[in-house]
Amino acid sequence: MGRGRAIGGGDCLKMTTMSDTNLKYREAALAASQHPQPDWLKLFRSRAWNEFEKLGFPTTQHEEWKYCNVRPISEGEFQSPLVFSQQTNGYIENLGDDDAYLLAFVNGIYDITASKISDAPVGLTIDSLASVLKNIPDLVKPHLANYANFEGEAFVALNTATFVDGAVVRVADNVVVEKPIFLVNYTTSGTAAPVRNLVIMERNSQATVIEIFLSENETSFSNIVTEIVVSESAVLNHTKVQLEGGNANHISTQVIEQSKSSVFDSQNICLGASLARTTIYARLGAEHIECTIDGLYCLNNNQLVDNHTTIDHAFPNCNSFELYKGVMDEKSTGVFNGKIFVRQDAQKTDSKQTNQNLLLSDDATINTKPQLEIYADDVRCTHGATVGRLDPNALFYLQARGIGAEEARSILVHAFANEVIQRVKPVGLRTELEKRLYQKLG
Amino acid sequence: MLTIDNLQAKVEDKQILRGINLQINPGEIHAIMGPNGSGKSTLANVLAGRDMYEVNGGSVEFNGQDLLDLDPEVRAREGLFLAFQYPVEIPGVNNTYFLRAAVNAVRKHHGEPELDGAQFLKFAREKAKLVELDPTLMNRSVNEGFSGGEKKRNEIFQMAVLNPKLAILDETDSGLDIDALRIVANGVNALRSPDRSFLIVTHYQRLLDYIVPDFVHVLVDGRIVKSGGKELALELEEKGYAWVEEELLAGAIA
Repeated sequence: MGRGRAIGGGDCLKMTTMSDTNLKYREAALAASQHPQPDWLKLFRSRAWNEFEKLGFPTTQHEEWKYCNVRPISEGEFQSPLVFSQQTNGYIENLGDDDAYLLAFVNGIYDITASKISDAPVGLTIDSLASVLKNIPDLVKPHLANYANFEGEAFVALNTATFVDGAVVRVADNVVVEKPIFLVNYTTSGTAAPVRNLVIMERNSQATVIEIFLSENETSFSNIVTEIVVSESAVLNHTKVQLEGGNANHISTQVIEQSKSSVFDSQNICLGASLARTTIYARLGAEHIECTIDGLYCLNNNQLVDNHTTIDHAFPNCNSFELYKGVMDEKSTGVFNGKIFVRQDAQKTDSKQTNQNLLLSDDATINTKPQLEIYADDVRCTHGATVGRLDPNALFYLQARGIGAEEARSILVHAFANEVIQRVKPVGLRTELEKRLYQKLG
Repeated sequence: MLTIDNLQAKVEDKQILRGINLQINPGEIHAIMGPNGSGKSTLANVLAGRDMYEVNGGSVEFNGQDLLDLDPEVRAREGLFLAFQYPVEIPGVNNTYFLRAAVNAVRKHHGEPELDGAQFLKFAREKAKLVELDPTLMNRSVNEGFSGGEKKRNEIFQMAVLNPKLAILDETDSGLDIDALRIVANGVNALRSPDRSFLIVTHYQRLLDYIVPDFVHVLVDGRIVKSGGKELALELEEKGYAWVEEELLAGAIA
């Protein structure tokens, strides 16, 4: 994508010449369309590519990208991940609990040697998307690209046009999966890696799914779309952990479609990358749904992390809870935009949204925007955003007991951030995240 | 133990302490009494090192060191303890974790080995009994959701664990019912020893029924205007602070 385009903004959408970067994505889209797959998907892909071409990468002129300048991506030089290198073995590190299912991906392409899925019980499908599309495409046909709308969404369009692989997790009716399911993706330097994940929780099923994103330290671009279906009375615990390297660019779109009496309980933990944008859209499409979307972002250096969430209450008697906490140090910038829609029919909605931010340096920034749009009249909705510094009274209290100023500061920051980490279900992952938080915040 | 010489302190532009002189020897219990706004709490906080107060005159010597030159955490490690008038709630910080970090900071300062979790817990449980602290409070966040009495007991519990040389109790009796007051006082009395001193800041005499002081000082308008034995507290209770102020005024005229 050329520089002129980035400056031009959203109105001049027709391109006369195509930049080198865009050509590479076109090649990637072409290559992706040649993998074994059903025709319906090919059709989606070609429409998605047209949409991406029409839109181009968003600029800060777009309201939804106002604080999120994606120039490192639009002007970046990235290679397509069509060649998979085995040399990256060992990248997984000890992040997951040992007793877990693991699907590993390098640049969005399935790495069978690093995966652990052999003992999956009856009723649990965990497989690479490429393999499912080749062998049993009907399994994903009702869902794939059905929820993550690419119209007007450049990154979703680009992902839909170019993805090669990703994870499929499907839990059949009435099946309870005890062990957590880890989906780990590792992006190598200089690569633009589309990742496409699909989680299908069928009626009355239960599972815990963890998505982990890692990368090498040099610049890269991972573009993830995860579609999640939580059918009637199903329960899904979901944690997304973004620990990419210090120069990585990470764009992620998560779309959750919930049915009657289902529970979606999630945490979005964001510690890594140079530029990270996560867009979450949860549609509560029936009654008696419970949806929890929690998040934590801890930033330093020049990190820019943008979290956009939408919880869409379309039916009565649903509850949603959202707690997002941010710690910004040095010259980092955090963005939180949380929309709650309560549509006209969604009476008796109970919705609570909280965004709390801690600024640790004078150069750190947070842009926070809670947005409630309520069209029903019998609802209980609260929201609040706070921006603050460490409580000097608490600092003095700790010091007055002999704890040094630095340690006191660290204790208070961790206490603040830990509230979200404590909600992560797998114990091993939780411990690892606590450790990572210490490493990051000192 | 502690020698305060002509100590002056202000907050923003308001002069609060106007020349405090006080000598506390090992094993002594001193009570500072005075009307609201006389500077009692300021004195306690200045000694503990709170940076919202600016010391603009005088000196404080603590066991041979220039106290005012030390950071608050170093004062604590050297054996100075402040029981807060308003103990701070710290959500997310486990009470036991916090106190172990404190104890180990003190031990490290004195070149002693740090206590591991099990050692500390055993030690802390014994001390908790001293102030009849509900052991479940030790697993909660520091002071979070504690009642007023529980907060004050937690302060005395921390004091017992940290084993200070000089304990300053800042209005520890405020907000306590008579039972809680007795428990807190029993905790303090159990910690009395020939080499530990106390400075008890209080508005009311009633705490001194339970913790009997060696000396009572009356603070008015940033100065100690009268000192005496424990009977002075009773006299104040009977006649009120106005009595001291009138006496002062009379002295000034005479």
